[in-house]
Amino acid sequence: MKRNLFPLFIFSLVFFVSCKKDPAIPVDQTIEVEQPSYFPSPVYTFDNNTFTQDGFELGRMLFYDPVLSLDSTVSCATCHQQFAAFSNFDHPTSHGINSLFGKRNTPALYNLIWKTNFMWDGGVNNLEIQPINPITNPIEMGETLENVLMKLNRQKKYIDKVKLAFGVDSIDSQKLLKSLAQFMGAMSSNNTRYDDYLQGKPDAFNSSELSGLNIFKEKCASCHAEPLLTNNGFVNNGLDSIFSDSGRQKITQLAEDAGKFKIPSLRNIAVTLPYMHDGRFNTLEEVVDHYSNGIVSSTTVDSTLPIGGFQFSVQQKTDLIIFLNTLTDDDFLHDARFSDPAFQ
Amino acid sequence: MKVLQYISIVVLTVVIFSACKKDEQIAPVPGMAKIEFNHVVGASDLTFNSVVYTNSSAETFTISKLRYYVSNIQFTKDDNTVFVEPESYHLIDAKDENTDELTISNVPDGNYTSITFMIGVDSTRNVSGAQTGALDPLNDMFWDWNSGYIFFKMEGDCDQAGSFIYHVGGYSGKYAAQRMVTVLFNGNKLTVAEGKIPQLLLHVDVASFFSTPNTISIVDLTNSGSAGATSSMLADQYAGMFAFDKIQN
Repeated sequence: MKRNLFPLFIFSLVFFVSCKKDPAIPVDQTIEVEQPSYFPSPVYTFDNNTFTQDGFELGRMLFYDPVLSLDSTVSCATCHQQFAAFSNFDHPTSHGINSLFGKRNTPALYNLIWKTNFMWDGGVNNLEIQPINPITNPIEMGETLENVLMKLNRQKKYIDKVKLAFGVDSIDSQKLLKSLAQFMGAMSSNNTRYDDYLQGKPDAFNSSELSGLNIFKEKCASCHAEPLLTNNGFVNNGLDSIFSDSGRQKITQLAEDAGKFKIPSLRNIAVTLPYMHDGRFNTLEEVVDHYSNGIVSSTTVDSTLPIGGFQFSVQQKTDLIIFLNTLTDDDFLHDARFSDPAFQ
Repeated sequence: MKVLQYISIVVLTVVIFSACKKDEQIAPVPGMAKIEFNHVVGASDLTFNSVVYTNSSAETFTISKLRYYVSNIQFTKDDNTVFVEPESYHLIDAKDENTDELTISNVPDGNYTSITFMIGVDSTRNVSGAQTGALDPLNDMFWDWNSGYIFFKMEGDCDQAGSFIYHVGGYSGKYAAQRMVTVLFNGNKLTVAEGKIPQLLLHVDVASFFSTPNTISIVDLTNSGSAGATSSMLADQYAGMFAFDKIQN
């Protein structure tokens, strides 16, 4: 009798294991904000916005809900696509309501709690404040905060969720913004082969990648500072001699800031095409070519960039691009906790 | 046994009474004072839209909007001690009678000789994310694209220049537009005491905005819409708008 049961036991085991892997079974949605030990202290601390699972989930519902736009056609996720590290894949600039286009490239969203300011010109000073811009910009979502709150407070799912998240009976502007900050603030991206290298894992990089890393450290890392791969500063990286967009100067009104833009992190750079503040470059090859041969002179061009470019060899360019491809965090791009809750 | 019962009752009574007493002692005496902002243009009360005024550049104009933040209010007593209002953020809308009178609570008893407040919002609250109450971005006193509060809005129409819009803000750096204003009570005293709600009346003079310390010509300046040199200059103008009128104790 005992011997007869053994195959059944094995079968059950196989069945259970296969069940576990079945994607139809909901995956664990529990979230906490990952802060790797080798990252600096975050700028945004959640001290005044206690992070909770429900707060995060409310933010996630809002992020994916086109009701935030005037005609319910545009959500945050319309222009911030997870598979593109929450940038807008293959769009130099993005579609707002009524097919209106902005004039700057949609930035990727990750590691936001380490950023000192937001937007290409750094005009926004707090993660919680950022969403007001796309919601109220007439060429993005074109709404008013008043209308958005009115529409949200008509829906039971939001009333129920804000009760769980904040213990209140309706969403006000502060709860809207704080829950979005919880969702976006939890988007930590730190699981790449470059992170393996940073943590000293042996053989994380092959010789080409190591060579690319060394070129990067020598030529790029003063702005794209490790390990976040940005120093959060603003520079003119020699794209134009005359500026069609004055960039940081719009915020500071200082002539010395004309044509300067935020230094973006290079994490997930292989999937956040196109590149630069106006999305003018479609490939990493074009970007590397710019730094190699395309730096043009202007009144504010960064002093660390040689006019005419670094004159990389073909091998150096190849190695640099190979290194940049180690910065993609596939787990982050496919993390179900950051995906559209409507499809789960 | 009976003795024990008596003792219990006595002890219980004492406990109850002493608890009552303590409560009375802990409860603060809520000293109150009111501040009323009366908006004027020179010698006339400010009337929106319909009344035409003349500024020091001999331009004729009407006013359609006047809103500003008053924050970080402090009263100074005749013994030089200072009361600082906690969470002191107020949005004054000259058009809205519900907002142009502030009630300040928990003011210690005493005779006060001056008031100090900020026109604008301190830099801390400008960088601290989503706020509520007077600082809710729904109040239409917030720049989102260059984040920070709009400290002061004055809008109107000028016969010589058309519409003018002065939005003033900027919380840090050399163009910071917060201004601390101290108004002395000219020897009068605001007496805060139990059972009294003394009232401080201030004049807020639009004519002064156009004349002091700089002469503002609307023809030369029809628009201010961001932090910067112009905002900072206009902040100097609003710093001088506030004057003592009277106290009603």
